[in-house]
Amino acid sequence: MYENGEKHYIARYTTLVMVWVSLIGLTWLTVKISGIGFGTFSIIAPFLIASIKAFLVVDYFMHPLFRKEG
Amino acid sequence: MSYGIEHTAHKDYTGAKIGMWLFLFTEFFLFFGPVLLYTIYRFRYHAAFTASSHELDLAIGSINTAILLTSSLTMAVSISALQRDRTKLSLWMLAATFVLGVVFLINKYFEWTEKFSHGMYPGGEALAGGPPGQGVFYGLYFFLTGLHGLHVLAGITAIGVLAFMVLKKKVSAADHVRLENAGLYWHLVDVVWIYLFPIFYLVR
Repeated sequence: MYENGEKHYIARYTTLVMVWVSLIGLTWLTVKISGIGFGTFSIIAPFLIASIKAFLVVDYFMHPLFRKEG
Repeated sequence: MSYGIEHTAHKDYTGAKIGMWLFLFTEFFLFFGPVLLYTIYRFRYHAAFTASSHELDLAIGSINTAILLTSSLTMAVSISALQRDRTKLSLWMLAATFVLGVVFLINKYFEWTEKFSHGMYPGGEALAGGPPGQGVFYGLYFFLTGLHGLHVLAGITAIGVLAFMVLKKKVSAADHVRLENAGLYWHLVDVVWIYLFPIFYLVR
């Protein structure tokens, strides 16, 4: 056991699966819109989508120390 | 008269997690440097980068992205399961993560060897004869995906070791921080790939 008998956050399976569905959906979207060629946005869009995906992985899967629940 | 000294195992959960996060920050900067180079050269060799990106196999890149994302899910489920004392589920999920990591590397192997067979590797004849931007693109491609591949290899090694520790009850619901830290590393490898994917495959 850890000191102070700290309570550790335990992720819910359903939350994890929902995050995964979003990640796959965003991947599908970013591949779908690649090469359409709508100017500057076609350069920004993939990195915008990548950042949303990275946020989801960090926030829900890695669960930073400062996050207490959810 | 004898004195007994009692040793109680010292476990610092928060300290262990902070240590891992600090390490992950150094990993971030390791990848950040070459990505910065990529950004600069992308402006200089805009056309060559776009043309080179078209030569990469978007299907394999997309499948590998899905594979790593799924492996991140199985890793997260494995940790959650171990915390709930469901050791068997945790081990199965670790096995799935391991296999997905291996499949990712196998795909990468085929992707690389296909390029090699066409003389496309740093110093290869096809790149030497092409425009300078193409050589830079492939130089960065092989360096960054190679560095990432080494991280995947390190990750699956860690997962293998952790699975053994869970099996031997050295890592358990009561003491799970090592599995959590291996998970953090694996998720970082996933995040790096999330950015490498658009960088090389989607800028067309």
